[in-house]
Amino acid sequence: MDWIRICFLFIILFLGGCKSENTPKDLGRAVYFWKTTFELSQNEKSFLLENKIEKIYLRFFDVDMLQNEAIPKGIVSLKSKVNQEIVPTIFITNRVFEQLKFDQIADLSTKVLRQINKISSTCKEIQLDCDWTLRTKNKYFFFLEKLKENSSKNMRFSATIRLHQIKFYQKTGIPPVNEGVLMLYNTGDWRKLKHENSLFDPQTSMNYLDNLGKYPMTLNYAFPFFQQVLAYRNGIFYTFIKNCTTGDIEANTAFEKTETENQFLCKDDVQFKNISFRKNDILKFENSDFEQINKIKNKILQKIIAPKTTLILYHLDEKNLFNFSQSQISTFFSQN
Amino acid sequence: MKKTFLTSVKVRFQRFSPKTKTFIKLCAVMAIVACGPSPMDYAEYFSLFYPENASTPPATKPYYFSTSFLNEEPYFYEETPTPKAETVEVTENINAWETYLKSKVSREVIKSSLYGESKLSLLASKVSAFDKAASLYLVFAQEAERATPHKTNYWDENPVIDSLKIESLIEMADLGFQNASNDFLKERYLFQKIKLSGEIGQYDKLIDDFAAKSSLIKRKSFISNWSKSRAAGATMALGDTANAVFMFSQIFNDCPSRRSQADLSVRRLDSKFFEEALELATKNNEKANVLALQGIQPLQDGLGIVEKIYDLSPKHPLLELVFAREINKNEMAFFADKNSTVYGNFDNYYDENYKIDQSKIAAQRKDGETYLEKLLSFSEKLSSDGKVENPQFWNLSSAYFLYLKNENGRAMELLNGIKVDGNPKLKKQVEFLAFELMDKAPSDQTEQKMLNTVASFADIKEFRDNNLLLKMSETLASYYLNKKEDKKNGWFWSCSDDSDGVQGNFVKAFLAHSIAAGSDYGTGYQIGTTHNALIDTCSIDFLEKLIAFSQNKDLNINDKKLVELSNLEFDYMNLALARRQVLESEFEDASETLKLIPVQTLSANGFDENFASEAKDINLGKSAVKETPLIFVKKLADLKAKTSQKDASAADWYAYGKGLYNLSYYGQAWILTQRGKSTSDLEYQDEIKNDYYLTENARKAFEMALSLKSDKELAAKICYAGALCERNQYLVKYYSEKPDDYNQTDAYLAKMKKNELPKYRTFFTKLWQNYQDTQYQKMVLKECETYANFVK
Repeated sequence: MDWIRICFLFIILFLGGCKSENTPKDLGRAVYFWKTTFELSQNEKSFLLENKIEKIYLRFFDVDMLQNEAIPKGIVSLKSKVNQEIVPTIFITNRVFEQLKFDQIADLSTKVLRQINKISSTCKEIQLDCDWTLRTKNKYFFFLEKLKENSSKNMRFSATIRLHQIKFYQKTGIPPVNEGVLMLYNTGDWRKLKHENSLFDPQTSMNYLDNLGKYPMTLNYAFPFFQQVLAYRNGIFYTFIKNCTTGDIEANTAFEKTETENQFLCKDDVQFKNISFRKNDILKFENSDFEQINKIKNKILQKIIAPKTTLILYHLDEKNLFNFSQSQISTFFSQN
Repeated sequence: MKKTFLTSVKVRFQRFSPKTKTFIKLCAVMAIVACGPSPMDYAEYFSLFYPENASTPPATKPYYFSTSFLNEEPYFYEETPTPKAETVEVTENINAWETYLKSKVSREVIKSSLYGESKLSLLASKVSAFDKAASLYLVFAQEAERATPHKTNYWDENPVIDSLKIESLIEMADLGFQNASNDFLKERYLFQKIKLSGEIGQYDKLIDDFAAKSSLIKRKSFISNWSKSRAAGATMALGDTANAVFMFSQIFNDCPSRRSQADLSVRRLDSKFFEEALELATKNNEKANVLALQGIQPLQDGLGIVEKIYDLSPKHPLLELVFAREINKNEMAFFADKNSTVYGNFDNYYDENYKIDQSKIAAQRKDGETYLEKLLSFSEKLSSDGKVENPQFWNLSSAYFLYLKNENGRAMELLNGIKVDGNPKLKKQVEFLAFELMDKAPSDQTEQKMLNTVASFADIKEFRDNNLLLKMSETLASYYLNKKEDKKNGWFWSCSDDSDGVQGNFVKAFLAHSIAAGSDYGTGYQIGTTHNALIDTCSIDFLEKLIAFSQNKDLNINDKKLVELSNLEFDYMNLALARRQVLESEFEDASETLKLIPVQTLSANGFDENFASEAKDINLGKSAVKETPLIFVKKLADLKAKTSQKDASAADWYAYGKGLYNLSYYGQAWILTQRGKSTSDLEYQDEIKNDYYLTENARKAFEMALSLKSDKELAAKICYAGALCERNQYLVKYYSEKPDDYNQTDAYLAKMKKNELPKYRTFFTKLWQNYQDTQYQKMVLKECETYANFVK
């Protein structure tokens, strides 16, 4: 009898050990909301419901330097109520940690927590977004420690992680938080006209993900679902153009399509979107390619060992989301 | 012997690979943020035209062209921030009260009550003795202030406002307006009423009040514009954007103390609103105001707008401001070669290999030249047709354009007609152009004149001062070169031989360049060069000449002035010479030079921390006897002499090899040839196939030592030292051929270990095969893991 039990145990252990990496993951669904007024349109509310979004990473405010002081900027105004969990997300510029001294960091953490509580006191998680460098790492990590120290024990903290911080994690360090969100957008060099798509570059992304399985912290993944237009003069980056679609460009006779896909040549000096353009300037329209995003997402899901992760769509804005079908969104939020 | 700089900085830099250039730039950035010069001004760019040459109304400095959002004072982190200067708003209001009160109350009390520590009630009590109505207004203003508190700390919550209280205050303001006996108080009551209405969102009422009551004020001051600014904001809030733009454009022109608010309110607005605002304007001046506000918006080309303003209102006060913006903006393109190197801009110019793309620079420059022609044609038209307020500005602009076009005669003609008033920037601009355009026929008088002018430009307060000095020092350097030879132009002057054998010109040209050289430490401007960068390119011969010239007691007055302006210290030049002599193995000369350098100078240059007379590598990590750099170099000189003799012993050659090794990248005397080193040198420096990294001279010395008769213990030591040189040569090979592709690294390492490493083990092989029985070999086996692995 005992012998049979032992054999049975071995079989169970053996099967457990052979668990395939392709085993479906338990996928959480979330979105980022990055505007100053949290006022959702009917379409956006429907989007949240239809896609069973569980969490909204909502940018509460930025922290930046003004003269010698770290101050909150662009504090969100909450005008919509939603059923999803709201995760206050705070963007802190790297120069805050470049300029503040260590003895000012604890005070900053208190101020940040107080400011979050003023906006909403019901959150269970707080996310910090900072493009820290080796030079500011210590101060940023100390700041995160202080945030934890000054919060209730149940509060969870997450931090955004850039691609290079995965590849060189032994050098860049692991932020002292419960989990990270790997940002998989703005991966290319937007200064380069020839760079096909700076918004999402699958090859670059994958080049940085060798160490993904080894990264010693639970990660969630944020993918781009937006578009942007960039302008170049003499091949030199000139400016980003806000709220601009290909339709807007095509409607203006001063621009004509070039042989390169998604690029437009300015044929004459013209004023467009409150910007002066000159003859021969080039506009480049960049879009998130759903097929590529989905492919990389699946590759990542195959690479990771954790049974559970959250996929995050950046960002919730009906103007952007109109470019993606419901079936694409459903596909994105599932493993296929 | 050729008396030259070894090679110019520019040429050296151009030879670097993209990887190295990127690394160097990265290092430069790291140096900037770590211990090297920090940027003095992140908005720095190459510009030789002061925007202050334009006559512009007060509080328009933020609207000069800038690579930043606004042309603000350079930002520094300060431990104790300096107190801010009085704003236009504060000055205007205090002055108005002072005039109204006929100076019966001191300016200090007014300032302290309105904007300082004291309360308005203090002023009210002082005023009550002779102007009851004004006193009552001040009491009311204090109450209104209290009822509309604003957070003083950015992290505080907005205070709650009692709207009922505000309603009652609005009624009081209305009453005060009706009862006020003069326009001064009427204006202020109306402003309070409008402000209070805005606080509780009564925008319609606010606009109506402004329209109805403002016209009742006969003598309007800036306060009416403050009210108008609130009304314009309310108009925008209610959706009438074009009308708001129209109102703000009038405020921008008329009211210095609300200029910033007017500008910021219309930023990011689509140009269609400006077009609609233009239609709302009925008078030419009003139209010109709309255009001027549009003309100073970011990413807005302004020449077309300036032309329209001129047609509508040739004496418009903002005409010169908008044009000066275009001049400076165009300099970004015209001087693309320089501006492709400034902070935040150089990566725009990279090609696919992260190399500055010269074709982009050429295209930008061409754009700059084309636009310059348009600007010139416009400024020439304005200076000649007699309609503008200040023809001198247009003449100066034309002179500058002509100077850039190398039409010096025409430029000088215009410049001669310009009278310099009290504007210090205009004075500098004129002096700069006069210096650049002057006849430079060689003579003592010319030289003296040039030196005096350059000296007067040496006080640097902002980046343009630095640019002007840089350009002038280059012009002076060219003057010294041109004295004896054909033109040698170019921003990065490099010295070739003064082949006619006359001394002085190249030295003087070098000194001229040094005038504009900045410090390598602290803060500095990005455009330009540093003393280190200049002097590190000099040969021994040239440095000797430079020192001799600088120390010559019989210099004439001009030469003395030049030496003084160059800021080159004797010790500094000697240390540069000593380094170059050591680098070229002129140890005897180097020891003589080192004798002239005080110990304190060596300490200040890092010798205390970074110098030891024996390489730790060779000593297997054990510290050696302490010697001064001078003794070390002197010993090397002696060893060099000994080893040049036929009877040199193995011990001599071994000691010489050790000394040479110690001067290398791997030694502890590297500071005798270099200013600094990094642990990443091998990985990122392109030029690593030289003796500093290869230690070939040391290896040859060890090889020679081993070929001579010696006892076995010494031979074992020589073998180990030789093996270190071979290791260094393997490292140079490994890093110089390492593929850029991260994915190929492992395969490359395996290939190198298998195919190349054995070739660099000859000394280890000899140590193992011939000297196994020595104590030294046994110690190496125990302490050197690499050798232990090799033996396995």
